[in-house]
Amino acid sequence: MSRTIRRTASGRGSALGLGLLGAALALTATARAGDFDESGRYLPASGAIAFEDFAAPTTFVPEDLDPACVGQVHYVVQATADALSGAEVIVLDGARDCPASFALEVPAGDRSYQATVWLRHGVLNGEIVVDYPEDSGLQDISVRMAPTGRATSDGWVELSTNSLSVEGDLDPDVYLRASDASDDGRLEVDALELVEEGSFSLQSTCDGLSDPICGSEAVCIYGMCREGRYAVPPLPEGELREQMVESIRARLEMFFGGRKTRLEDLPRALEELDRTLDATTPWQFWNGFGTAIRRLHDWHTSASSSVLAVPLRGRLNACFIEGDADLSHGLFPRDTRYADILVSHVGPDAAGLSSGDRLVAVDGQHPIAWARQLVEIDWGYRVATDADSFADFAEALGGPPWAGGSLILKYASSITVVRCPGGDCEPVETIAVADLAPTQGGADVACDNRPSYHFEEGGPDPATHYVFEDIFRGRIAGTSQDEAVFGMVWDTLYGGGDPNGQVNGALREAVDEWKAGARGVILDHRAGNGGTIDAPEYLTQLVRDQRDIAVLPSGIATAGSSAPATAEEGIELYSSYPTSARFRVGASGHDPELPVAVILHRDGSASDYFPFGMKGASPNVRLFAPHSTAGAFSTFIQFNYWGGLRFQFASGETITDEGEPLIGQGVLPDEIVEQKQSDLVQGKDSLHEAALAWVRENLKPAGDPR
Amino acid sequence: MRLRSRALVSSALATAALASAITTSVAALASDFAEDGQFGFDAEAVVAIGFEPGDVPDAPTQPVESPLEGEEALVLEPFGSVGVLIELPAEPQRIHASVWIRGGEAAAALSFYGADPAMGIDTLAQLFPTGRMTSDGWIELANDVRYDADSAAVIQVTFFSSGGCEIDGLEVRAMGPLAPEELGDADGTSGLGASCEGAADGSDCPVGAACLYGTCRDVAGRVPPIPPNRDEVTDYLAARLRIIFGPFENREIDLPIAEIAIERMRNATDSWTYWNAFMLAVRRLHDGHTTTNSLSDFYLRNQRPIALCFIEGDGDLSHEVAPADPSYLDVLVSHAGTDRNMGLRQGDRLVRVDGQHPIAWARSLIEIHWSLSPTSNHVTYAELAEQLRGLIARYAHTLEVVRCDAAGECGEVEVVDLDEALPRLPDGVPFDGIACDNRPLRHLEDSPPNHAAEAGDSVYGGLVLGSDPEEKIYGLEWESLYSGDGSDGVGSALRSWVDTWEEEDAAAVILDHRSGNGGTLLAPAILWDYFVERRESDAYVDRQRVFDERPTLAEGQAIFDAARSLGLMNVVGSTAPRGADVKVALLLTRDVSASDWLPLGFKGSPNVRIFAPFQTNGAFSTRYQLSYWLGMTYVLASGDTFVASGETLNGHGVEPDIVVLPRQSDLSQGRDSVFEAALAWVREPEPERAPSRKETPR
Amino acid sequence: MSSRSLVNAGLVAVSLSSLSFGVIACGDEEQVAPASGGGAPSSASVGPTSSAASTSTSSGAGGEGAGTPIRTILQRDPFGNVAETQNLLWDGDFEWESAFADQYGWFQGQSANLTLRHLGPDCRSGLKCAVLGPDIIGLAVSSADRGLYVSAWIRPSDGSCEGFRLFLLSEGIYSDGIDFPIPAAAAAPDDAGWCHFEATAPQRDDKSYLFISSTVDGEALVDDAVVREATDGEEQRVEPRGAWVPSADVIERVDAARQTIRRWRGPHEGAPHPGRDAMQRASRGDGRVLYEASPRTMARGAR
Repeated sequence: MSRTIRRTASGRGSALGLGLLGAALALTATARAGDFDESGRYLPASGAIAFEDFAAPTTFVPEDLDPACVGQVHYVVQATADALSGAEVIVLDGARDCPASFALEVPAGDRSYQATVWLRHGVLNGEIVVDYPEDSGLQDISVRMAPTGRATSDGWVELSTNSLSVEGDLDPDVYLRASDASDDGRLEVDALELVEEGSFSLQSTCDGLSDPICGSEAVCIYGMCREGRYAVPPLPEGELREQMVESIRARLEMFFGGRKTRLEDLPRALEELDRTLDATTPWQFWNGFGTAIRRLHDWHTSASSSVLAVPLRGRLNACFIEGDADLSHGLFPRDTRYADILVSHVGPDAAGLSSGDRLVAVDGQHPIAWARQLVEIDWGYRVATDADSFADFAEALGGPPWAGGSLILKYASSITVVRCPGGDCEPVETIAVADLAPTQGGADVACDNRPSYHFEEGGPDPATHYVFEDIFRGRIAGTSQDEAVFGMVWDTLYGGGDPNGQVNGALREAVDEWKAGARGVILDHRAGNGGTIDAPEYLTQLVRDQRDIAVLPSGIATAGSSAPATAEEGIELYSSYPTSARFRVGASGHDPELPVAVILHRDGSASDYFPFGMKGASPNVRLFAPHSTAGAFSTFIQFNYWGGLRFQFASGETITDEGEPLIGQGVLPDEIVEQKQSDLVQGKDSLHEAALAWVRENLKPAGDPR
Repeated sequence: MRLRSRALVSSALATAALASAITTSVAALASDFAEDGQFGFDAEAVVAIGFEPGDVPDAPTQPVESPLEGEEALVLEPFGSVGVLIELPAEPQRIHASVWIRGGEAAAALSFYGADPAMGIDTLAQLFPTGRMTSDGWIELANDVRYDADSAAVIQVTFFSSGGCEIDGLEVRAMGPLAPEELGDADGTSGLGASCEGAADGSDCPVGAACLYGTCRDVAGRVPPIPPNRDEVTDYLAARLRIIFGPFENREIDLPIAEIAIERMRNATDSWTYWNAFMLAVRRLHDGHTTTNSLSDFYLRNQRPIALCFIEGDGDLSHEVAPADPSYLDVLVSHAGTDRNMGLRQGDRLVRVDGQHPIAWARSLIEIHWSLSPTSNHVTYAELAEQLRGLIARYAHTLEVVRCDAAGECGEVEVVDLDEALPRLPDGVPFDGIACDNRPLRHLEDSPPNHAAEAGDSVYGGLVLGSDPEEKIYGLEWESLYSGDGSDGVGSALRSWVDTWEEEDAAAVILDHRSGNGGTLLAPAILWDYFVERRESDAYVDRQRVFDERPTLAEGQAIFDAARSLGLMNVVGSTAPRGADVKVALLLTRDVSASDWLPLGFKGSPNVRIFAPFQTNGAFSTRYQLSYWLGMTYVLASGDTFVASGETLNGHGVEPDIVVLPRQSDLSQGRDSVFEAALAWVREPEPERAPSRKETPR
Repeated sequence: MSSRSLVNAGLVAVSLSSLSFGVIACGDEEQVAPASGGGAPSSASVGPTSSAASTSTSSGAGGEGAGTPIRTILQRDPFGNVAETQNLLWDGDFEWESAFADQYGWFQGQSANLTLRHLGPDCRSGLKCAVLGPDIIGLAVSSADRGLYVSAWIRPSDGSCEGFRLFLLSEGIYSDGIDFPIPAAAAAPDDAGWCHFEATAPQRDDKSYLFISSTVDGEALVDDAVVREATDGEEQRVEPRGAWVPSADVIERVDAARQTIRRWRGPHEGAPHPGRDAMQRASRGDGRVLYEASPRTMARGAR
């Protein structure tokens, strides 16, 4: 058997311009791994610590294995003439949810290793897990594998980890967790190898992001230093790194954003990207890349990695919201720029906080100022495209990590609060995040910027605030049958192009019912997660006649264009698009007499288009919110790489029929209303109260059904 | 358990940091010493001034014993000040500036004048001690400084020494270009020197910069670097607040708030955030005596002077177009100069500044404005209203105003863009300036028409304008209560007016002290002795023990009694005071310290009424100043005042007997609501019985 | 002399009687030998704190064959002895002293600020220190539940530590404290010329002031003063070791200090200040002479 070894581009990213990425890695991470003899047979490194050629693999059953997977075997040992090493390989059967695990023996002592493994005919989700005994006090680590660029003429591709530290004296279980990401049951895996590489680093506790103990190569998350290199691919070297940075730069320059984000944010992101050329470690490079993506300052744009896939510490089961701390300004004045941050609602384990209490500071800073600075480190960073909207930060301070929240638990050392029981505010109190107890049970509350719900019957569970994909409708509490004021609480606008789908069907049904029997409507969309454009189009059919008011290209129309620079150019562009690209609002059968109040708070993408389509539709439509929406008037493109590394960025500009580019310009409310602390402590919802009062003043005349 | 102890490692890091930082601080400095101790400039220095003959022609240089280098040094006499013009590369960049001094403290600063030097200093950077010194007494001052292209037009190195000193070895070394975020975009929309829309927009300026006069200006150069032993320095400074700061109510309410900023120090990663956080902590103590300031408060002129004075009141004419705020009083134009007034006149109303109520907006500036006027009580804001025009000039972008005419007709809320309505004013260009004294009108023959007293201790008196001489209604308008021995300061003037009232058999006196700057108790004692029946008033007690907190009423009574037994009692008035039959109207608005005590001494006297919109500052203490090379100065109150009930006074001003708010309807017609209420009362033929209240002012 | 001072002096005499009979026999100031077992602490326990220890001599000077250097280079912590984070003195190391202050953490003579100050390597820690001509009074607070450890360093001009009188004054509203003497740890200065004064005063509720005076001619430097809550070990040593009977002169000076303290109670703002006035003039450009540096000093290397 003979086989030639080559460096290849690897990874799905190649089709998206990341081909150089795979190649870029070719010169790294392989110095100590095995190599091929003249016949092309793979031989482990002479100093290999462990080597598994899968003739009779030692499997391992992790404690955290999904019980549904226990007893199942999702690989077979198969003899094959062109096994990379020995005569056998294993073939995974594509059961992605039940990964196979193969043990590696490590010697005693504090050492640093690098693991490599080879695959072909598929895509491997591979990670090396170091599972320490419960009583060791150490946390398990998981280190992702990504291509090195080494491949063979017969299709074998090498994956590798960055160096990982193992405290062998504690007798940890070390194993490869492998699953087939290609789902076709043909994935072959061979030659799992462990060599000594890199310098050992001890696990350390830490107290917030500013604790110097973690150094520059780790991040303090949930009170532990997390080694950044465990979550990112190896460091691309030399010329290949330059080519790779240039390649990503080209993607951004060609395809990213709309006028505002291209002119204001893209240059800052590219400066950040250029700094990665000087990176000396995998974490410096990849976190620099992630920071560059985050500096694009766009609601649709993000980078993600497995760095946040670490154990939770403590619990702060509270949701925070921007507002007006009118009860406590005598004690602590409002910030020049940012709104006050109040407790919206809480569940169990909320540090004793109650609705209406005030979050004055995180690590001594205004909570929003503190959250904004996380752009350099937080791989879950979410920011509105509109530079004056900070609702995403406020929402993410608390709430569960599974919903993108818990910024305080993840990164803070202390929080300072003002408790105002019954409206009497107490002196400020600083709480160490490390003192927040772990869960004592009870549901996590979701943060939807709604302190309470207001249906006569039904509605979301106020104990959990789980709205998610559901749509709740009903008569508004405290109103009479004669007033016939109805409301809807929902967060999704994912119509998916199906007029009769779950979302569009419900919205169309609601519109018909309200036209028939409502004298006033309150649309509560305060956690607008976006969706597709068809859903907001259906909703606008309640209040306005049919009209095209904007065009939404599916991605940037002309590579590298920041148009339109003028209204004339905008109108020209608007006209140049096919009608299929237009945002068509309204319907001839709308109800011009029905007062419709829209309550907004944190709304992006389709949830930007919705208020844009409603605003000014008629004097009987009124938007209530504390500030503008996210201004995410575009679609986005996603890029996925190995090892859990992903990023996406916005592409395209929405242009109104008057030629105005919309991206970054959130929809301003007709009436700016902030949650008042004095309302929250009394269980009142300031925005709902304002909306209801307006609707009642403008009720549609009775007995005028459409 | 192999978890590393954070404490252990952190302390190890701290030690290592200290050692390395000391090395670094030396290594970072280009100029250095040969083995024989000779000083040498860096070969790459862009400025290297040894103050040798010809280096700085005509400057006061002279041969000194053991000069740092060469033969001569710059010599400053006591209170001497010298400026040296230097040139630096025009490109925006970071520099390291250093100089050596000997024999006395000196304030050394780099003043960057912008493209229009007549506007004054754009950016100020101060040199602070690095800790490096020589056995023959030379001490190094240095700092890292950054500047934008616009600021580099004219650069002056200024030296001031109160005691006199020698100066040698001035060096500037280029440290490389600014970081991209400091440099900003090519179109000038971000970075140092970029335009910005007021303090509210300033958070988009680079770290260590603030939005001043509509431009992102560096402020990081005003403070030293973060100390290498930051944990020790932070703990030491935090302890100063807990140990020294005395007012009990403010300790209870405000000290925890101040300590939030100490948390910021612990997490700061840049020098401005670190040091500004400490100074913020001091300001958050919320006490009339407790303040901060820096060299920039001396050196940076107001580039946008405004000839308007604002005062809190009742905007009764304009509530339909702009409803009153539930938390704050309306802000009105008290009086105006003839130009640089944005077309506003007496009685017009300032509704919002950059979208917030003017007082709420001013309060938010506590984060960045080191010389914000503080108040001990938690309910009044007269200090901020008086300071508004200076804050607006520096930090505001748009104002929302309501203009009203003499007929009481008001327009709609109008938005004023400061950059358009009030351009910056070059230094030396005259305009009709006015002083703000919370007096819409002055009521004496010789009162200064522009409200500006000739001197801080000026006292104006005489028959009240508009009164009949036969009424014998006298007035007194003054701000200071300083007298060191009862005769200096305002002492002799007050005694002289007391004699006049006695000689002229005054029927009434209107004491107009609406901008009371405080002083000592010797000055009010002159007035108390004449008008007030002798009584024990209060006892000031210095802070006794670390972590003393507010005593119970019983403990407070015991302290009051102890103070009496030790002769620490403040006894006001005299037996059978000669002026007991003279009606006294005391007019107050913004009154602090001794100017709090003044009404306290008068409070409850049968012949006296206090007319004011609200209580005084409530700063019943004294204070101590601590200054780090004049660049970072903080002042802490350290004591409290007890009354017989056992209550402490600091944090509670003296309440008026008659609450009078300046009314927009009066101001727009050129009337002074507070004064008119007082005049009407003194003219009442049969004074109502005086209140017999003896309780603690609240 | 106030009766208070007499009482205090008496208390000191009584406290001294347990140390040495010779004290009672001695009417004038006579140095008392340290009590047995109360000898001077080791230099380690009283030596420079970690901050002061950061003072170091640069290797940039001296060295074999380099001849006698004209100067040596030292590194100090510009914030002084901050290792004593809980120092109950307002500013024990004088680093935050300013001629512009009209009320500072140290009084001197009748003034509420230092009138004599020194800057430079002669100071023991940090950059600034006080010059002892007129007596100085350091403002501090006491502890509600612990004794007070007191430490201060004086550099005499005559090489002797015997001419200085230090007391932890008790001047408060509780009248429970004595003016506690702080003796020298040794009769002669250390190698650097500094005399260390150290003692632990018993707990008192009265406010404390550190009074430092000289009974000899010539100026002396005072630096690195600390008043802090005593540790358990230090609280065992509350007797004034090696103390003396205050002379009538010293008692009068203590009484004068007490009057100065009382004089500055209560508010004091607005006193004219020539330094501040000069600074304001200078900031306006008045009185500041402006010179132009020669082009030869720009953008060129050292001569």
